[in-house]
This record gives sequence, structure tokens and C-alpha cells, in this order.
Amino acid sequence: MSNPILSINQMYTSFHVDGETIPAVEGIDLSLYPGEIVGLVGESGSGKSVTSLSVMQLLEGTPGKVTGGDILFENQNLLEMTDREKRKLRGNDISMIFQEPMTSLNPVIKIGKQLVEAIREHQSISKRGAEKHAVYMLDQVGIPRAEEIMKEYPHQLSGGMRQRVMIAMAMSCDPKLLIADEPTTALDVTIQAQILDVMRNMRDEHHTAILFITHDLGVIAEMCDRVAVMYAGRIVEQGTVYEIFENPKHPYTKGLLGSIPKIGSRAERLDSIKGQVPTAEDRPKGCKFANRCPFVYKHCWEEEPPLFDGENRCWLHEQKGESL
Amino acid sequence: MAEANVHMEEQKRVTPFQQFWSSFKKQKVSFAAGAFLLLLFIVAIIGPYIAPYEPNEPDYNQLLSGPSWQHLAGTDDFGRDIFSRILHGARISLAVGLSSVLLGAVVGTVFGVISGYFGKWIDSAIMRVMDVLLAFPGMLLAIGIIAILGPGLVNVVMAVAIFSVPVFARIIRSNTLAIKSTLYVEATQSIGSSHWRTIWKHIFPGTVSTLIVYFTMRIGSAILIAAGLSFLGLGADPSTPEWGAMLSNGRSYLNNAPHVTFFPGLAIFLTVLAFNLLGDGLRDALDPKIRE
Amino acid sequence: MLAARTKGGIAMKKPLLQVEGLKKHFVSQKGFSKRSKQIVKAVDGISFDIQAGETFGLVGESGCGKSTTGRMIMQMLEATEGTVTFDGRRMDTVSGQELKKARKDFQMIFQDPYASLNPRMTVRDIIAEPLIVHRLEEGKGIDQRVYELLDTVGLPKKAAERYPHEFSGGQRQRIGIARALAVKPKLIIADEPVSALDVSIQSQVLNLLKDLQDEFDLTYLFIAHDLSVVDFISDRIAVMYLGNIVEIGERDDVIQNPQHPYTKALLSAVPVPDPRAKRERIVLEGDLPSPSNPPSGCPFHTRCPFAWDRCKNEVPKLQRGKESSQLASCHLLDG
Repeated sequence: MSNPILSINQMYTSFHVDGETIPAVEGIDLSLYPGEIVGLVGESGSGKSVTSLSVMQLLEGTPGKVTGGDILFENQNLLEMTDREKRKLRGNDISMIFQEPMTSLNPVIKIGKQLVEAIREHQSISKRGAEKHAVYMLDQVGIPRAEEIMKEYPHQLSGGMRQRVMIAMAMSCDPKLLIADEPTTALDVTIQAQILDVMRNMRDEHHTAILFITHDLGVIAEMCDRVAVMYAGRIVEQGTVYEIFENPKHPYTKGLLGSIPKIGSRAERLDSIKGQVPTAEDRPKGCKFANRCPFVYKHCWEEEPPLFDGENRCWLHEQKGESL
Repeated sequence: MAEANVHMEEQKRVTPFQQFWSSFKKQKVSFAAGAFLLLLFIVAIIGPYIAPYEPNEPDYNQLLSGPSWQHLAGTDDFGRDIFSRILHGARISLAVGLSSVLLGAVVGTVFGVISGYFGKWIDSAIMRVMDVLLAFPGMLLAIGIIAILGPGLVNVVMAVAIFSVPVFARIIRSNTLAIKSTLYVEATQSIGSSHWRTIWKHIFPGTVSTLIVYFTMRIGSAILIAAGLSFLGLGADPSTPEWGAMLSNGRSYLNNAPHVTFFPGLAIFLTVLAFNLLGDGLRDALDPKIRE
Repeated sequence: MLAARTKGGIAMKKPLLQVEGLKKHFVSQKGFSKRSKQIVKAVDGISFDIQAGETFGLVGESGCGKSTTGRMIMQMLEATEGTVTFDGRRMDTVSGQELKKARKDFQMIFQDPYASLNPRMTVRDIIAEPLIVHRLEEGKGIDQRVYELLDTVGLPKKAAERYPHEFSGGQRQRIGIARALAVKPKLIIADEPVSALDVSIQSQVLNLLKDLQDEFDLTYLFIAHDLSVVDFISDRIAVMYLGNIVEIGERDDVIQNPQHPYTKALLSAVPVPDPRAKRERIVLEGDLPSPSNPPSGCPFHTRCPFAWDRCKNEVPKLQRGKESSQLASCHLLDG
């Protein structure tokens, strides 16, 4: 395989509030290769969004800070870059789309102008050329009447349309890496299906690597090549989408998969994981899943399992090849 | 039954009051202002017993004499001890400030809640009257009311109360509107709660923190207006040791005996400032948006 | 009228809830002088019955009118037209006092467990409120009942003294459920009760709702946008689009053998948690039309891949297809 485009090594991120340090992400390793869609899945409080903000270096102005490890983009460490270098990278080589597109679009500037400015900020291109490119990009993400949409304001568009505009903006500079943080969570399923199609096309045609962050396992199964499951600030299991969905090893992954109702299954009850996701302050000492795990034994409470075979953090898999 | 595995660790529990108190304590300036006001209240209660002189006891040998060990804040044109008069005046000023704002707050809150909760024509009717009251400058309105009611401290209380009403009515109305649109009010109505219950158990408790903040801040301006009315001779009888009246009294001697105006002025200034600072601190400590 | 025929064609006992021709048209005034009026047809004439003891799922995308329907049935919103009959009594015409009494029998669970609980009240006061309002218990009896309810929804006794902000989303939703159960209602209207919750918590709450139904003989009107959740919990399902019910019938019929093109598209759009699942996706063109300016004829024709001239001009009626037992409103079923 070629070199990874993004590799996160032993990254730690914590928040400092009222003199206390609250760990959000505690030592994660994750790599993305060109043209690959990697899913980062987890529930609220798992640290998945903090991970994406850390990679995008968007924690400035928040009480959060990357406190350890490194984030390599094409072998350059993002943590050692100057603000100028980072700005150049963002938007040129790395783009991001968020859950709520309205907050990322300026409400008082026309769509077209925002697109043109975004394009011209990172490419030396005439205004005319940028406009043409913007219309082309809107067309690419399946926006009908692209020329007219250019003259409209964000509030005149529906949620699905705005998200397409955001994707068009994110893709306009042909980034090598796209970070998508719950991009379809606020949308209806029929619109979600359209957006997912657009993103898949982007990968196929431009070979963009996508880090897809979501809580929705259905979306993960449809979109991703590889999956990393996050829990309590760690990646507890990672593997190909087939490994994760067909042969999950970590009890948390199993529980999560059992929790989702499957259409047409006619199940009487759902499996469920007992208890609640622990807050960052009261994560258990040993394995972070110990207090909810149905297979917990003494050792789990005492020591945190390392990543066995680079795949999962569960003491049950201490000896290679052992399965549940 | 069900999955009863909802674990609730014994963590240190924080009551809403403790939460408020710990965040209020961090506001050093307001905390100091609060301490000052507490002292002032104590003075208002025991002032007359600790004052070195009777407030109306003249000392014709010491007319308009400056501060000295004998008279800490000097004497006025009748030779009355200014320090003792200020101590006595604290009770009057605080009583006037508190009672007038209390009256205004109660009436204003009732109007505001009714207006915001029931809406429609009741809302329009109440709010137009409030708009008319707000259209007058506060002092002018107070003078107008005194002109109708006649001078005197009780009427000053009435006047200040009336001009506080629209302020409270407006803020409480907007609070009520916000709370009325919350899901938990919808939930209580879906249960079958009466209007009275909804207002008393859900709307009113939600306005209390705003009420406390505005109440505190308004006392400052109420004291100021009351002093102003007395200064104009529309409030307290000139012989009463009211701070505004004392100011008015010293006005003629501003050049040769500035202390006659300075000390009552200082008392008004510090009290009003303290109420405003306390109000600021309370707002920061009570504002749920900041607290979250 | 519909449900009476659904179960094997045998007329059943009177339904617990009958909704007939329910409409809600909002009038919004536009422009500075408020001269141009706009009518938003949020719900445009829907009818369905719910039998005692069943779960009726109302599913649709945002803006289809499903929540408005729920609130009209709860009598929190006045219907523009149509009737709501609960347990044989017309709810839309009863007096205020009668309605208050009747409310004891139908309760609501809300979507947002954060906003639906008063942050200034303890859990005890929140759960006790319906008991006090309906004078069901007094003094010590209230505490007893609150503890009982907490136990029923799987929360510890000590939760009673706490405030909502001390609980997680799933726990708060349990508090909301306890409040709804307090008056021993017959019908519970659950408006997106799990959509704000994490998946592992969502399954706990769904299981709990099923257990409670068995234990207390509850009838549910379950409103949600998530087809897989509705499929899991419902006995019968109605699919809404732009204020209309486009398909209604037994769960298995609607899910396994959908007749309306919209239901088909919706089902095909639901992401399946199986990477090998074959997807024959019907991708719908464009967005939902505005309910203030709904399309003529069939409301779905602007996005329907099978639309032809007739769809633009003629409103289809709910009807049974040849190879199906549920009802759907599509001209294709004529043929």
C-alpha cells in the first residue's frame, strides 16, 4: 500500500476547565490512505468529534488542547506547523464539513460569492474562472439550477441543499483529505441518501480520502472501507467494515451492533448495553468499558487492555486467535 | 424490571443554591458590595442606637464646622451632627428604596406574567399602558405623580413604585414568553395542569432569578430618585435626616462648607453603586447561560 | 373505519382512538403590510384508528405533519377540521373541565428529554405533578407512588431528590416516561421518544417501552422519522408525506411489501448496518415541496419516479392493491 495521507499517532487531547484537566481523547492511533473512507463511530462523549477538531486544529479558542502525540499529514506534523502553514493546508489539502451547514455559511453573503471567495483564497484564478468553477462544483454535487443558486442566500436553501453547498465548497479545491463530522445527521433519510451518493462519487472520481465521523452504524456500513470504534476517548476496535460488522471482537462493538433495530427483522427485543457512557471524569480505572461489559472479570477492573494485534482493546483477546 | 442498571454513583451533589453561591463568591467586587450593603442594613437597624448625637439636636456653637473627632462628618447650618444624621438616614433611604421597588416589582410582575402568559388583547392593553409610563423620563414621571398625590415620603414611595412597574412588567413579560414556549410548559399542560398551576409552579419560578437581579439594581435607582425628589423638596420634610434632603440643605453652603453636601452625597453614591455592583454579580451568578 | 377491517376482515371492538379527516392549516401573514396570506397545510385530512393494546407507528420525514397530528390528538393544538374520538368520546368538542379529566387517559412522551423536564423541579415534583393535578394521591401516598414509578422505569429511589440536569439523556427520558405513566393512562403518544438518544441507550428505552406496554396494557401512538425504530415497535404503520397518509397497514405488509412509491423510496434510503447488503436505491429527485404551496394532484408527484399526467391532476385515494392488504394512495394501484 502507498503511504498514509493522514496518520494520527498516540494523540491525546484534553480540556482545561476551572483548573481541572478533563481528558477527552487518550492516545489514539489512526491512519488514512488515499482514496479510502474510514469511519469513526461512537456515541456522544466517545471523543470522536474532538478527534476531528484536533486533526483540523480547530481547538483554538476552546479550552481544549492536543497534549500529546502527533498528527502527520503527508509526513508533515500538523502540530509543529505555523498558523500560516496550517491555514494554507486547510481548505487546500484538507477540508471539513459539519453537521449543521447553516453555522458554517455566512447568512448575509450570497452562496456564489462565498464559493468564489473560498476558491480564490487557495487558488490563483480569475474571478470569472472561479465563478465558472463554482457553478461546475454545484453541478457536481447535484444541485439543480446552479446558476440561480449562486445568487441566493443560505437561508433560502433547504438543509439538504445547504449541505451540498458545503460539500461543493469543501471539494472546490480538490482536497486530498475530507473530514466529515456527522454530515447527514440533521437530514432526512431520503436527503441523506443523496448526500452519501455525492460523497461516494467524490471519492471515486477525485480519489479523496474521507474520515467519516458518525454515530450511525447503518451509514458506516454503506460508506466505509475501514471502521474505528471509539469509546471513552479511545479506539477500542478497528478493522475493515466486514471484520467489524461480521466478526466484531470487542464487547462494546457487539453491543452497539445488537442495539440497532434492523428493518424487517421482526425482533421482539433489542440487545442493549447496560448503563450509560461514563463522563470523562468518571471513566473506570482499568478497561473503560468494564462497568457496562457483560464479560467483565477481575483483571478488567485493574488494568487497561492494550491494543491487541492493533485491532481491539479487550483482555479476552490477549492470546491471539482467541475468540468469544 | 427493565434494564434497571442505571448506575448513579455517589458523587458530590450540588444544590442549585450551592452552585449559585460558589459562582457568586468568585465575583470579588460584587461580593464586597454585598458585604457593604449588609453592613448598611445593620446600620439601618441599629443606627439610631449607635449614633453619637440625636439627629435633630442643634449645637449652636458648632455651626457648619468641618469634620473633627467630635463630629466625624462635621455639622450643618443648625449645628446638627452630619454623621448621626447619615446613620439615621440610612434607615429612611433603604426603607424607601426597598418598599418602593418591592411594590413596583410585585405589581409589575403580576402585569408581566398575565401579559406574557395570556397574550392577545390583555397583553396589548397592559403593554400599551406600560409603554406610556415608560415614555416619560423617570424623574419627570415621579414629579408628576407627586404633583397629584402631594409631597411626603409615603407618596415618594408610591411615585417610585409606579415608575418601576413598567420596567418589571416588560422584563417579566419577555421572560414569561420564553418560558411559556418551552417544552416543559407544554408538557405540564398536556398533563392537564390549570393556568394557575402552570403560572405558579413553572412560569414564576423561572422568572425569580431575573427578578432578584432587577430588584437589586432598581433599588439603587429608586434611592437616587427618592433622594432627588427630597432634594427638590417634594419628598421628605427638610428637617428629616433624609440623604436627599440633607444634600438640598447643604446646597447653599457649597463654597464654604462643602462637607455638608459631600458626606450625604457620598452615602448616596456608595449605596447606589453597591446595589448596582451587587446586581451585576448576581446576574452573572444566576444567568443559566453563563453557568452551564 | 380502516382498522376495523385490517385484522382478517373481522369487525373488531370499538377502537380506542379514532381520527377522522383531521386537518391543520396554519395561516401565516407575509410581507410588511401583512396583506398576503399564506396557508400552510401542515396536516391535510388524515384518518386512522388505533385499537386498544396496539402500537401504531406514524412515520415520515421532517415537515410531513406527524408531530402536528400528535399535538392535535393531545388537544394541545386545535384542529382546523376533523374529529378526534377517544374511547367513544369526541375530544375536540368536550368542555375544558371534561377535557382536563379526560387527559388522565392519554399522556405524552416528548422528543427532547432535556427541554421537557422543568430544570427547577426535583424529579419527585416532576413525577408527582400529574398525581397532584388529577388528585390521585395525597401526602405519603404521593411519595410511595413516585418511588414505585421510578422503580418501574428502572431508576433508583434516590433519583427523586435530584434535579434533571444530574441525569443523562436516557435517564431523563425514563423520568419523562414515569411522568406519563403516573396517571395510569390508556394511550401514550410518544413523539420521537428515542431520536435524541445514543444507540445503546435508544435500545434500552425501546425495550422498556415494550415491557411497559405488556405490563400496563398500554396503547401507543409512536411518532418517529426512523423507519427501523418504527418497524421494531409497531403493530401497524402509517406513512405520512406532506400532511397526508400515503400508506397505512399492518407492519409486515408495509415494510415487506410497500405499495406506495414514497414508502419504497423511504425504505430503500434507510442505511442498513450490513456492508454486504444489496442496495437497490430509489433516489428521489429534489427536496420536499413547501407545504404552503403543495403540488396539485398527488402530493408526491413532483418527486415520484413513476409519475404521469394523471398524478398531476387527480388526488389519489387510499385503496387496496391487488397484491397487498394495506392501503396506499397511488394511481398505480388502479391498474
